[in-house]
Amino acid sequence: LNDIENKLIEKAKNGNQEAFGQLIFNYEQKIYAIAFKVFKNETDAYDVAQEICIKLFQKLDQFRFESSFSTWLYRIATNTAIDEYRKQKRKSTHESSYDEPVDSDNDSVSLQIKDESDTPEEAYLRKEKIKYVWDALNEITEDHRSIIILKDIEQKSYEEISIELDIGIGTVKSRLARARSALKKVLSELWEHNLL
Amino acid sequence: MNHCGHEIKELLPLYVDHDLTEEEMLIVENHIKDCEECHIDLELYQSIHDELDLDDIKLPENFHHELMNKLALENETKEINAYQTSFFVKYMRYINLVALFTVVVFIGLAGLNRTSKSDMELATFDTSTTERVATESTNESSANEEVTTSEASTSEEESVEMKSEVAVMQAEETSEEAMLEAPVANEESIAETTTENTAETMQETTADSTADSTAENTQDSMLEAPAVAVEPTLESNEKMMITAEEDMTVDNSINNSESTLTTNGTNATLESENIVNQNWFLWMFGGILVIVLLGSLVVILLIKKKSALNKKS
Repeated sequence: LNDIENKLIEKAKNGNQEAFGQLIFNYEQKIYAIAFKVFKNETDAYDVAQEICIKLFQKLDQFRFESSFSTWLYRIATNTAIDEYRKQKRKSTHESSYDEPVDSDNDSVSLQIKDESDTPEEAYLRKEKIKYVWDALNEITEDHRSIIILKDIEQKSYEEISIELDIGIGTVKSRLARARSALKKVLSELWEHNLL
Repeated sequence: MNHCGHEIKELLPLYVDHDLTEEEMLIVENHIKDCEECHIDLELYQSIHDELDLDDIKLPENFHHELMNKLALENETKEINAYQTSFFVKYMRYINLVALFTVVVFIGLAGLNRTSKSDMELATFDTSTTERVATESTNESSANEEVTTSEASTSEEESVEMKSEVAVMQAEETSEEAMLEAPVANEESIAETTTENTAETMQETTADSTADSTAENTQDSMLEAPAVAVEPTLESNEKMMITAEEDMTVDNSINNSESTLTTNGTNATLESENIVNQNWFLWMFGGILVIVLLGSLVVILLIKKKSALNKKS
């Protein structure tokens, strides 16, 4: 599968649009889902997801096969989605009535509508923290991000990850545990920084 | 808190995958019952996991189709941008200006050249007229030799006749002195006279020369005749001899004049050919420039049209 993907990447790098179409087809849903998770509305998510795909085509010649294509792709996808969200937030800061960002001066991603339901304090705080998960994902190391993408976004099994990264299943588990722990730590730091 | 070992810290992040062994699952579940901190952490891990789970979001149907259309458009725009930023198109405006300026200069040069060509045609015409007059003079001189008189139908020839008579008179007056001089000296004198006449003819017979110059040469030649007409044989028939010498000198000068005129005429023809060649080159150069100018204008129009279409789409 990787060989086919690599051939498509090579063709797409030379400007072959059809090859890029085949290459991106398997990732479109995930890209759109990331955009939706960040923007929380279909219209913006659609436009941003399209923009992400075009950006990937434009930047494809920068891909050097040093990491897995999916890791590279999701990193660009999350970065672009977060950047676009920040731009939009800056534009509409004074307009939104229901939007209640944690801190309008902070660049971190926030959800648009505050959940007013009667929830326990921990659950509320947790939801607030989750707003920064896409930011946090870009703050952790490449190895940690890669394995989280493979497991949580691409929903691959330990065995599949083990084959793809050419490491043992035990290593996959321990690395994934450390990666999630690191992500949680960064998330908490961003959250605390935002409270200050 | 105190019993949160390394094992629990490593199992908690993996618990959300539900991929632990039954024994590991029990260890975690039993632990979080007593440890609030680990319980909070586990909920946070679960929230992260849920946030990163993208499978429950459906992709809109036309997403791929629209993306491919946008990419095709993007590719076209990229190609157009690449073309527009190329050297030729980038400096098209300046190239057009230079071409336009060159065409204007060319038209000016062509106009000037046309004027000079007309001048040369006139000069050639004058030269041919000179040749014609010279030939006529030669014929008339020959007639004089045969008749041994200085009668002529043209005014130039009358002048020559008058000069000849004057020469005869002078020759009569100086006949005795001439008798004393050696024949060798006379011969040298003839040679000198002829050379002088030739030189004068060469100087005077230019592209702008007219038939008058030939007449003057003839006159000059005739004026030189007295010096020539110092033959020892003048004792018995001085007039006849002087006339004969005169005619010989006139013949020489006319011959020289003719040869000079022919040379000048050839040069004029060559110059005329050169000008024609220059004209041909200029016209060709100008034609190429006009084609380039028109071609570049067409290219600009095409690009603008394409850009307008892209903007519309």
